[in-house]
Amino acid sequence: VSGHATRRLSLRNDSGELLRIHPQVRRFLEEESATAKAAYAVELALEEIVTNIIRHGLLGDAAREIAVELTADRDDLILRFADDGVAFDPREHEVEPPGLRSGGFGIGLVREFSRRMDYRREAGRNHLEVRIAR
Amino acid sequence: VAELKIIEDTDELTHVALSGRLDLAGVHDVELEFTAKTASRKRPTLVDLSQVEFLASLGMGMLVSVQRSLAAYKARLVLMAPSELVEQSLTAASLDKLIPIARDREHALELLSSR
Repeated sequence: VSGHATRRLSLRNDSGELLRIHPQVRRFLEEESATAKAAYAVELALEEIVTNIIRHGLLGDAAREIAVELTADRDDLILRFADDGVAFDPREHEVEPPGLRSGGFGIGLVREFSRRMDYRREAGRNHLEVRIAR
Repeated sequence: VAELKIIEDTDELTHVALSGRLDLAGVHDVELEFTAKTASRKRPTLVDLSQVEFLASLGMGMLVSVQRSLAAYKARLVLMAPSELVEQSLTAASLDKLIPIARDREHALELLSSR
């Protein structure tokens, strides 16, 4: 038994959902006694990855959802994202220079603030795991 | 979630302070007013970030958009006193190469007047 709670959240394809889940994310960070830097990195990853999926992956289809799981182990805070949008491996995404508004450097920010990102495409769904050092 | 305060608004300088979270919701709150009070005035501009708790890529996009508008009129933008984590975000995105970051107002005025 890990002793770490897991929170499973389901977000509609709507950027307003980030505001709705914010209190649950804050509670998770408090329960895990996240450092200020780790908490910042978790919030940044959520903001950038969910925004990216909504803007580029789900193509405005209101019926589609994004599954987000927040958990932890001894070393890391772990975020898992799953969606059935366009295949997108953020590890292979070329980071755009500053100044572009497409969100291209948002993924670069997540890379900088995380310890590791793993991606797989399975059964028509994107599965992304982001690990942030505690 | 985000607010804008006008500190100084003269023919020589625009000095504003942003506060709160510059994420998707925060940018939505302040972007129009921020652009109107900075880019539209076409003056050297100082943006105090000391009360900004969180800065996502959309917030950076807002800053870059104002920097570009001001540059078209040969006016500079300087960011001032970001928290350690906000400064880390700025440098991680290489925004510090595009927009100078000052420690305090004195340093910011120096940067605004230098070539």
